[in-house]
Amino acid sequence: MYPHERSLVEEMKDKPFALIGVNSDSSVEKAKAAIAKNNLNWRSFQNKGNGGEISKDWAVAGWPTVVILDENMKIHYRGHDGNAATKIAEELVAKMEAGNK
Amino acid sequence: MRIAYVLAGCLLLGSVAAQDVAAPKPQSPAKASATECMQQIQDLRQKAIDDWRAVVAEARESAKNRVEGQRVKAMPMRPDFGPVAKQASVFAKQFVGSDEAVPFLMMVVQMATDKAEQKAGIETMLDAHIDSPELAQMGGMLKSLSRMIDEDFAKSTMQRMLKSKDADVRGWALFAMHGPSIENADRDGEEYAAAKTAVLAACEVVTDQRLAKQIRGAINLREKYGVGCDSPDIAGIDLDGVEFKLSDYKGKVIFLDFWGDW
Repeated sequence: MYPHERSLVEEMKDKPFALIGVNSDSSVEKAKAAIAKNNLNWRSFQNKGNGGEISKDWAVAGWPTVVILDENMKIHYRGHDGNAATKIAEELVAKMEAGNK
Repeated sequence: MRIAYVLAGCLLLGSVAAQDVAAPKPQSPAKASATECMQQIQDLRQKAIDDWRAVVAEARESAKNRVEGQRVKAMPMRPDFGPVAKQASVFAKQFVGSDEAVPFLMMVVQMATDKAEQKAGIETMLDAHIDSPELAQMGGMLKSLSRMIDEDFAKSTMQRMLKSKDADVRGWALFAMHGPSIENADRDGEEYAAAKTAVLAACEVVTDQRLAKQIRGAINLREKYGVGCDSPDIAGIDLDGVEFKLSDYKGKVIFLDFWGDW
């Protein structure tokens, strides 16, 4: 999954698009090691960083889980298929760009 | 000749004495209570797990100390529960006609490796124990039943469970039937509304709080965190400990990725 996400962030860097992670690794060190090793280029919440547990609130039952939100934070996709999620995100971005013209 | 008589006498006496002692013995296994039998099953299950762990440890060891040219032992993916299922099936027959058979049938269904055996176990439960509250234990299994056996069988099982006198048994079946609509149907459409009404009604009458929690959880998830919802904000800290919010990125399309490197 990493290469796909990394390329997506690069490709969309000038567009109204943000990839935000929720990292569930057992320690920050572990997450940072993965970021360094794989050149990961997105910002992540610590899953348990704020006392609660984000994945629990969201009832995430399998990893990775991807959620796509539009510019008003309405949910358009929730699931495990990175390609399907990306397609929906691209469509939403295209729609925004068309609206701005 | 005389010796022969004495011998015969001894044999006779001996056999009588032996019979006296042995007489109650054949009875005792049948008298074992369902609790004792279940304990036996649990012991067998534990043994299967211990055996499996030992094999895995051995395979690991052989991989570690591998000699060039020598084959490394295969690692079984899971314990062999076949003997557990077999013994459970024996006990199920022993308690046939009584609802005490249900937990054993459940074991057969969970642990048998043979589809036909699993199917037969479920059929017996539906035929002979449909009103038993124990049948509610099948609830957690219903979702995977179409994968375990096939879709038609899963559907007919749920339909038959709906006729149970036990509210929990009916509740689990109802939830399994409407689950896909709760998860995926258009939230403004009739299908979703009908499914929601049905499972919430079931929620009112079930005694199994685990089921009630799952039902309410599924609806909450769909209505708060599902497709079509306005996403709740997330406030947290990033990996450098800096506070930020998901809504900082409002105005952009957000690809929210629950990830980990484990």
